[in-house]
Amino acid sequence: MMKRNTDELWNEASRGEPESPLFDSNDVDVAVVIGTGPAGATLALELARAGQRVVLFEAGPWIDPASFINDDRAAFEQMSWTDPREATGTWQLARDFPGSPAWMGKLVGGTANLWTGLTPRFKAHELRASETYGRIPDSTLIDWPIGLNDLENGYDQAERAVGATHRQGRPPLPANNNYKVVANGAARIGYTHYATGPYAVNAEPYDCRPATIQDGFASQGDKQRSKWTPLVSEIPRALASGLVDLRTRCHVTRITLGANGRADGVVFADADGILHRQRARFISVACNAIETARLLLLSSTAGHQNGLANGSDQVGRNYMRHTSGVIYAEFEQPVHMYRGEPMAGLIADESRHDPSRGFVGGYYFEMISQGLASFSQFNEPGGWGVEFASRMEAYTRTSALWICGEDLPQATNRVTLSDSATDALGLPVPVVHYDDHSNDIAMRMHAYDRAEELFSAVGAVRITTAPPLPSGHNLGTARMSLDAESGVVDPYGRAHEVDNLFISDGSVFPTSGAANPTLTIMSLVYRQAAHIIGALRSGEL
Amino acid sequence: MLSDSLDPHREALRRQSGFDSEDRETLMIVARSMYPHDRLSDDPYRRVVDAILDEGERDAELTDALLDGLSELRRAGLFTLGWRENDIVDHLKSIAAGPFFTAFRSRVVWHLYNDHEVWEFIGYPGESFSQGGYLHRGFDDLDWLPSPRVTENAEPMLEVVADLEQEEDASR
Ligand SMILES: Cc1cc2nc3c(=O)[nH]c(=O)nc-3n(C[C@H](O)[C@H](O)[C@H](O)COP(=O)(O)OP(=O)(O)OC[C@H]3O[C@@H](n4cnc5c(N)ncnc54)[C@H](O)[C@@H]3O)c2cc1C
Repeated sequence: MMKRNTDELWNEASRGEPESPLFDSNDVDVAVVIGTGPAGATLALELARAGQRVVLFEAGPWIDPASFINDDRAAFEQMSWTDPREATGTWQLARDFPGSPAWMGKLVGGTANLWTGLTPRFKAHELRASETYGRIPDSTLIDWPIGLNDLENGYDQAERAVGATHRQGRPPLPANNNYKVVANGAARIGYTHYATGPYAVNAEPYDCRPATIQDGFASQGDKQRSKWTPLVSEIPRALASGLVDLRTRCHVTRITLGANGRADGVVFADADGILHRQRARFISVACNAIETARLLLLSSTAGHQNGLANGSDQVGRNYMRHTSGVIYAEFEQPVHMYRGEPMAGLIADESRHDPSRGFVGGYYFEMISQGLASFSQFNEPGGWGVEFASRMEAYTRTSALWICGEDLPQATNRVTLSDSATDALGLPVPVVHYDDHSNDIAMRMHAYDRAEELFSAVGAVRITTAPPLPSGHNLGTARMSLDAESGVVDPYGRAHEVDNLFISDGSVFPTSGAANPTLTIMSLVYRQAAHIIGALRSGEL
Repeated sequence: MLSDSLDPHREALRRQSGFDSEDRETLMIVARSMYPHDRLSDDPYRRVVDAILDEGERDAELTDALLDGLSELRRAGLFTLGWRENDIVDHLKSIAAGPFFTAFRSRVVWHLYNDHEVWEFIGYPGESFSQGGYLHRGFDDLDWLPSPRVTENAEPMLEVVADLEQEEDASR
């Protein structure tokens, strides 16, 4: 009964891929939003709700949820951003995955099609990292120009939009096998702040989306639609408004400025690589930190020689991706971690700031499961031999935890444009440079040790640690600041130097906190949208 | 055989006509030695090698790496009088930084653990959507541990643990 209802609602809401543009390329009153992930889709819908017309660009295709493939490998190829990139620096990803240091989606709905849906909030002190942690050598730590109270409304809105479990009246998900292992381990070593969420997958039908059937493929797009993504929520609503013109397979290559120094439009390449223009009243960039920085750098022009809105020289700098790593534990008894929601398990005890542990900031332990193909890729990148093969054979008896911790901003951790390599459109590829800070390393080691204790407490017979996966969290490359010298955008994500240019994604984070970023990205977008709508109404924008 | 593999004419022919059955068998054994699963048949390893050779047809650099690796293996005499896994593993360790090992290993692991016979052998069933997921098929059937709490701890956590040292610093 409920199932039929959610399907009916979905069929009504989902109009599929739009066939032709709604608005003229010379229309100077449209807003241009670039990127259809949680950031861009949320902003486009909020603007439409206020009556603003929007042209929404997405480099990737429209993929109907029914066409998602429940196979790690095929889904990766179907949904991922595989345009060439380069990685340099001492982080292990530069060695393990030199051409793909970050993991992003390239389709309508963005990386949220890959995300698993953990939605913790920032803690108050994390927004005052510099004040709380003191001076840390080799880091460009600053405080956020806003506090938790500025984010709270947006957090509530975001939790309702995604239907986060444990929040806003939504029930928790039940424990799956993997959770039973990690939660018991947590309890036995004295942790108390563990739960199956908050997690943006329905435990019961909510908002046109059915409850999870625990099929284990949330990260492969989720055919079931019980996981929140913009593709099954904001996008269909935005299209239904008649005010959002979604352009799929259109890659924005440049933001242009008018004679008055304001942004006046974008240049984009269509699916055949042919360049077009779209005029705009104002522009939002929501391409995910690496591509956002790249687009600003590609948009250099007279007066903005080092890249658009980059007088501060902060565009691309302070790139953060969270201190991370994986711990695998093997048991004598079966676990079957692949059954059920892959990350519905969060342990928050280590997310406190407690410098007696030998590092500042905190980290979460998050349950993780992988299909066999991913397990073999990430268990030990480069691994082989008898030992490795025996770990593969123990797959069904294995449980795993992922570390998600605050990493420190460093000016030299940075996205730049390659001076030699180009992509299919002939644009310079992004070079992502990252050196681990000693704080990151100390935190990771602490987490490995604690996870070993946790798994040993429930009888693990073999525990192995693995390096970070390609970064799913990409932050900091256009950070917000009160003054124009230390950052790129103001507390509303408005570029200090171009007053009708907005950044709407995790690029604006001054610090990473320990929390997975998406709920905070969305909270900032709601706040930004209200600011933009106010400015439009007052005629200021 | 040794002289054969070093014969430039034969090498040129291989490059044009692909790999003969002996090459395939050698590569299969190397793949097996890299990722040994004793109770697994040779078939998945053969499919892995086929997939890699297929890719080589579109990738001259890969083909070169494979041919060079094969010559090296023959030169090492590992396959002349039957083969011993230990000797092969020792040889592989000695060439682990080279182009053959790097190109071949990364592709073997990539294809092998995506082979459905291997999935079955390890016990990974793959997709479950068509069977209604695991909701009624054991997503929570683990019974060797008690059922833990799923809700959050109602007590707020201590978010900042006072840093005595820092406070001392500040008051100095
Ligand atoms: C495996 C995985 C698991 C994750 N799990 C979690 C989790 O549990 N909790 C959490 O909070 N976060 C999680 N994340 C991170 C989360 O997916 C991101 O934080 C979120 O998607 C960021 O939203 P965004 O809109 O800023 O960017 P994206 O979602 O990446 O969207 C950006 C979009 O912009 C498009 N684009 C880029 N450049 C251009 C251009 N020049 N022109 C046109 N379009 C362009 C891209 O194709 C893409 O669709 C996970 C990520 C991964 C990979």
